[in-house]
Amino acid sequence: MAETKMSNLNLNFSGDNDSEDSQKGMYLTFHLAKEDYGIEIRYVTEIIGIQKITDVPDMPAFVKGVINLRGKVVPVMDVRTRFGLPARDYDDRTCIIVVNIDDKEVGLVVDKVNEVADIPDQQIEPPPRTNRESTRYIQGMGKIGNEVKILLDVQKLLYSDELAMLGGGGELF
Amino acid sequence: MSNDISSDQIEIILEFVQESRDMIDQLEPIIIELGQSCQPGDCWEILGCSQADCHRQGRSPDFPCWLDTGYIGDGKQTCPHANSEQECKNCPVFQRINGNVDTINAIFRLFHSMKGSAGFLDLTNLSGVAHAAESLLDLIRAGKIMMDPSHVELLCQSCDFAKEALDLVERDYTDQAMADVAEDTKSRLVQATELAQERIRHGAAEPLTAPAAEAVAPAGKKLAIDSSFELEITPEMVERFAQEADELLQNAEQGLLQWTEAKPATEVVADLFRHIHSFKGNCGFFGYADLERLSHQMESVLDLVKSGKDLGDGKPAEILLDCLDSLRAAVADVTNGGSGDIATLTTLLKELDALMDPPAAVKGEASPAPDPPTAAPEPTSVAAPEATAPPAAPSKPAPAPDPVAPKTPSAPSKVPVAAPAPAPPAKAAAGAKPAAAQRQDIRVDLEKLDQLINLIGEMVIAENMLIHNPDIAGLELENFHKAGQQMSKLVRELQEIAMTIRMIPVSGLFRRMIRLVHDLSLKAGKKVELILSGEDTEVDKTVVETITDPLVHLIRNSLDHGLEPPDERLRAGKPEKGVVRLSARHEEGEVWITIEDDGRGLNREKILSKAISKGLIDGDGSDMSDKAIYNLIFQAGFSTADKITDVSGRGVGMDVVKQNIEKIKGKIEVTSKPGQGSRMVLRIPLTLGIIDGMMVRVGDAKCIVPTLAIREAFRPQESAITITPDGQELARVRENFFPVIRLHEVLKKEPESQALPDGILILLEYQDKGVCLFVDEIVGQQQTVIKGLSDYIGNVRWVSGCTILGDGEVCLILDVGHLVDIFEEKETLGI
Repeated sequence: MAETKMSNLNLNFSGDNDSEDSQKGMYLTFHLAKEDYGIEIRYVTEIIGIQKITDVPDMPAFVKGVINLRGKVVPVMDVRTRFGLPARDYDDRTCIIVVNIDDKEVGLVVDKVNEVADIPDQQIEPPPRTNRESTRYIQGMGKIGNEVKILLDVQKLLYSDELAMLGGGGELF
Repeated sequence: MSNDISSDQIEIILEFVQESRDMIDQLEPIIIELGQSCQPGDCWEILGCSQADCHRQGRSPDFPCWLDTGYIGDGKQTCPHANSEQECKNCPVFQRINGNVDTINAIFRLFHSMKGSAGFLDLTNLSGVAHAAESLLDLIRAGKIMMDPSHVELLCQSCDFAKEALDLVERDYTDQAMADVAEDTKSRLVQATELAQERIRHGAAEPLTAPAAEAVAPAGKKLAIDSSFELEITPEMVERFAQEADELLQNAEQGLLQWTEAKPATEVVADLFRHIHSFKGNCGFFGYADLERLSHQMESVLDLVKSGKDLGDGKPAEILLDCLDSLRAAVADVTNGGSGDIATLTTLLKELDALMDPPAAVKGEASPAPDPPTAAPEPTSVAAPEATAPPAAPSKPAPAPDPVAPKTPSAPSKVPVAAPAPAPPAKAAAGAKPAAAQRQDIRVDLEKLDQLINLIGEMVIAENMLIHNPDIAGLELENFHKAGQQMSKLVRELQEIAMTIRMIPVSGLFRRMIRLVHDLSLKAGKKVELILSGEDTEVDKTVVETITDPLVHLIRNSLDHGLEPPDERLRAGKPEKGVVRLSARHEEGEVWITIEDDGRGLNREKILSKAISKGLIDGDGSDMSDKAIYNLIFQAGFSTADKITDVSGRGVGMDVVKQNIEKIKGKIEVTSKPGQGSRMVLRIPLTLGIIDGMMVRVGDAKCIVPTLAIREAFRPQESAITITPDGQELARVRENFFPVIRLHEVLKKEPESQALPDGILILLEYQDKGVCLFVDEIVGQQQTVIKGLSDYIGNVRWVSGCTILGDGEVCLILDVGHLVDIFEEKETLGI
């Protein structure tokens, strides 16, 4: 398998070079409602505590607004709302996971961040085939012992079709 | 050229490319203007001549009068309107048919200097084409042939070729790949030249021979010296010339200083030679005769040194340094609006001659003591490669030719020898030296500049954070506040300067449109006049880049759809020639770029029916305002053109226009009157980075309103509020009523009070329309660094961006234009 070969090769390297690929199979897991979720660690730039979010009008409900991340303006998405889960007040366990895709940073509000877990490919099952809304964002089901982590496809989480509509939608009236 | 090109050579080549491009950009519009101003005509008609015995009277011979009855070439010299060749060339007939001599000279010099430099750099194709163009121009300006519209077209093509070749040279450092095109362009130029000569030959009693054309060259050169100052040389061009000249002279000086200590290495001399050579070229282009002559002579000296000849034991470096000082003084004079004359020219030239005359100069301390045989070279010998053998013609010691006295009807070869003007240049030489040294420019990587500007933006935020730090709120810190104020002042200054760094005038952009209009009008068979104004309006560089494409599209549209063909215009009672006006000006803290034409205007019905057929609107659209309908043309895929031309009509243009303009937070306004024309106004924010903002609060939300949009703010009286039957609140401000927009409704927030008299109304004005914004309170005013709301969010209506406040909080900036517009579109906000 080409991918495993790649990671084997990379063992010979050190420093920056392997940071990209040695992260393969690593997932940041977090807690949301009653389930554990995971996202690939290579997308994550940092985790910050909850802070004041400025509302932006005319956004879908799951886009909570924007925050100031050391001078950068970063939009924030509430993953609960995104999944249609009941809203919950933010507390001191609430975290914002800042992810970076295509040089765009977005914050994800989650209930609680757990740990970084290593889930090899063979421990990942394909996502269930349902027509439910939220399964579209699922990349697979990761197994660690008895626990199951729902692995999310960050790209789809951020850019599913409805948001694409929204990008142009701000223009229409 | 061999494959291994040294970095030095690359630098020279790139410099050449840059210079040539600048020159082409400047001169292309002039070529087109020339083409437009030149028309055939009959001499007796133009001059209102009533000489019944003249054989031209009443006839329209193909043969130009100046070669016939006039004083040029084999003319019979019987024309009563001129007494010399010079007068013939200044005659309205000549200027009408062959164009203004000065203008032609300017264009001639472009090709001439391009030919020279390209030849020097081994760019044979480029120099070949330039040479062919030069020959054609030379014949035209000397009156050997009659100018023809096709000539202008050819010259434009040569410019195109040159541009393309320059692009290639920039990449590959050679123009070999252009050989075919070059050959083609060249042969067409040569053909045109021959054809034109043929025509003259047929008309003439005696055919003109090639040598005759040869003989014309010096005369033309003389003219260049003569009247160059009536050229259309813009102040910017002079400024650039001066900057570059300073740089070149500076470099040359360094070389020379090395020389004073020891005999220089060959590379040093080669460098020196090059610097002086480029300098000479520039001077020649601008027509600074004295500068050109002196630097030419210096070049000749250096050429001798370069080829290994001994200069004798004079002090060549010293003398050259003297010359350099004079050159510099003259350049300074030029920057101060002077003519660049060198009072000591004769002496200096003699000294240089003495240097080059080895046997004679071996003994002589190279002092002003002149050797009789080495007279000052005549102006005509400027082009001679070696000035060692100037004809010992009885030339008066020729000092500064006065460029503003062109009509000296004496023997042509001595014409430029006008009265010397010793006093002012001498003064300039003494006084203007420091001025020349002051002007210094440096080319900077744009990225570095942007970094700097970003940093300054961050600094403004940091300064706000510091001064308004919540930790010190309410404390009595006199010294801290003093220091803080000082810092605020500095930051503000810094910011203002940073903003101006990126500003460039729109003239370059505008002048590019001249060519476009010219080409398009030919293609479409329409007669068009392009009128430019406000070219020196300055805008951010990014803005210029972003609006280039939109401008091209809009102008294309005006020409293709807006302006009618000549016959239709005549039928409509309009002048045959259509007018397109392009103007720029500052207005309301924005830059307005207006494109106006006097064509048929937008067709409301046609747009509407098209929009309906494309399903862009619901219903029959009869209730839509004109403005809303005109805005439909910016929808993707929209085109009302019945036929698609290769110019426009595919309907891709206008939505690109809109996208580009919106990218820089600009707006387009369309107004149109059927049958009278249409006008598009591009409204672009002046600065892209920082604005003055007023912070307002509603409930727990804060917003920034651009101060520029605010007319006034007041606490309304109950009596000033009127509510219309459909529930719209109107506030009366003196004589006018303005609709009220409640900010809390826009932001979906809970205000402190719903009652208008409890809060503040801010009267916002945008494009002559006003609305009152209802807020809880005004928090304060501050400099606001605009940041984009992340790409992820995209465009948000009501919001033009955001900023970071002193306490680190993100605060949205309201888009006043949108507020007003949306209000207008929908009457009620629908929220």
